[in-house]
Amino acid sequence: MKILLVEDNPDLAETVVNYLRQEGYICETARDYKTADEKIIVYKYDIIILDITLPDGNGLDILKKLKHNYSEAGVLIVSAKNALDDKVEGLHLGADDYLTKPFHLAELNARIQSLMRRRRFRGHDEITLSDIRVNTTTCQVFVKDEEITLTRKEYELLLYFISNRNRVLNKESIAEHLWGDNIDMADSFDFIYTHIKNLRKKIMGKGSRVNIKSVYGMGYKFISE
Amino acid sequence: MLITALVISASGWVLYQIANTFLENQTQAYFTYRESRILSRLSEPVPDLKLLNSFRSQRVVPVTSVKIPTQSKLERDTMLLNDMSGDIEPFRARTFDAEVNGKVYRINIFVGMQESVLLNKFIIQSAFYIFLALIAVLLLLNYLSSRFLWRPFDHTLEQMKHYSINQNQPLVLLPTTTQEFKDLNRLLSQTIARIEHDYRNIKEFTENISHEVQTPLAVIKAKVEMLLKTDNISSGQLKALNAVYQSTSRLSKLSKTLGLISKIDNQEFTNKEQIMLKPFIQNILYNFEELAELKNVKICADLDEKASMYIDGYLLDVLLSNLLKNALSHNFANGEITVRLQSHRLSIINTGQPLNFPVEQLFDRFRKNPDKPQSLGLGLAIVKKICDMNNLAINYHYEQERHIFDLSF
Repeated sequence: MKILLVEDNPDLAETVVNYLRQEGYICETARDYKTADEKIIVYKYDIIILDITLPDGNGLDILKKLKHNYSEAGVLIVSAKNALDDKVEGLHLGADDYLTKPFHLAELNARIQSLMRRRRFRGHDEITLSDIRVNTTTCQVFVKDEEITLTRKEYELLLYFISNRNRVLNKESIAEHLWGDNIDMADSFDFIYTHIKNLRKKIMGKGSRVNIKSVYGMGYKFISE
Repeated sequence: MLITALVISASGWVLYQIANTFLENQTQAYFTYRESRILSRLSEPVPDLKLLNSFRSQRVVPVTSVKIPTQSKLERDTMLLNDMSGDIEPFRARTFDAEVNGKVYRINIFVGMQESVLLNKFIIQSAFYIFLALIAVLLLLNYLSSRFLWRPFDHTLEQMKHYSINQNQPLVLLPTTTQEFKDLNRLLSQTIARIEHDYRNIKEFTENISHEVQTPLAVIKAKVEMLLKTDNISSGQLKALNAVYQSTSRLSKLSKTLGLISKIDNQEFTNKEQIMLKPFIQNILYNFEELAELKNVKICADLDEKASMYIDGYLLDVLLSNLLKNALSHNFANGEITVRLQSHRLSIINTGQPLNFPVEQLFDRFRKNPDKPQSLGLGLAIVKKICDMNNLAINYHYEQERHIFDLSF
């Protein structure tokens, strides 16, 4: 799985690349428009993470070029601008997703995986983790081949956990993933607790080996073995 | 006008005084002349009193009771019959005693004052007419000057009245030949150009800061997240990192929100359209349903079908989401939220503790409930801003343990 990260800030690029490499992706970076432009012509990527504001050009032009060449790559736009117009324009031009800075690495990971699934399986998608199987098209979840019924948020939460398994996820990133800006952070922590309690009950009730562990003061960890 | 009146009456008064003094002097000279004539007649060896008294304007009576003159010069104004005109007319009378050749005479001299009275009357009258004429001329001049001469000035005034720095419209001033107006217009144009320049700078600064700060924040966040992932950190370090992480998120949210406020201020949301409120609100309520359930808050909605609002869709979403978020987070557990939509009014009512600060500060920036230190305290400030920019009236009151926000449109 090959990812191109177009990001002009060296620190951020380095951190993201490290993170993605740990996740097992092959990751390259382009620091400016020119390099990015060359790379997308020469190489083929599965996913391109694209910063819109580049020192020597607009990331959206790269997106236009990609679409013009019928590139198969999934494009995830990352922008410091919260501007609605940028988002709408980006998605209109054919970007697959949009993330505003600063983002949680876990969130980025979840978006990449979701994008990957959509690309690779074109709608036919099943994720299997230990004894849990998730069909992302029908939104069905099976534990030891028995279906369990999850609410919308529980389902989203489970997917987020699976994308970031065996790693501590802090409450804040969970809250933002589930509710975006619509929530008061203080309230959200209680809500997360409720959701996780229910999710855990449903999974453990079927005797799954996976578990959601709370890490004191930090968040939760999804342990698959 | 008042000054003109003052000047005219003052000049009238001066004229009157001068004329009066002149007449007085004339009268005195006349008296002196008559006096010397009478005295010279009396000093003749045999004074002909009969002749002297034949003039109606003088009377000489010998006084026998005294040896020396008792009456010094006495002047008085009196009204007497003028047998020439047959009218009672004002006269000046001078009465004195004079001793001539050992005899004392009481002498009365009368001088007609009719002319001087007429003169005075004339002066006052003419002053009054001049005043009237002047006023008429002044009014006319005023009218003409305001109509034609002051036109560029009035136009400039009008332009200034409607000028708004937000609107991004250049100031159009009438060309004029009057030097003063030219100076004024030039000065205004310069000042406004400078203000606009500064304003643009500040605007750019706010916008820049609100996104430029996000990349470094993203670096901090990512780095901290990587650190959190490493296994061998103590719980103390964990806590510290967590605090850094959360503050970073807060900072980012803060600058994004302030950026949003300045964007609303700069009227960058211009996709105004007529929005049917019922489906719009239902959609937002749907997003809040789950959060409300988690807090066990009941949401009741009573929505009018036909109500609509002319506003930018994104702003309306921000507006209503903020109000609902507010209603939810400042609510009791097991509380209630009522959303009532009428044709020109939207009420959002929620149960909750009364405010612990003055109501006037409710919409202020960074005014927040001390029990909720995590909140930014900008939600209602945004609500207020959106309302102000879109001519919506928002009112708040607290009644029977309920916070009530009324939005009229």
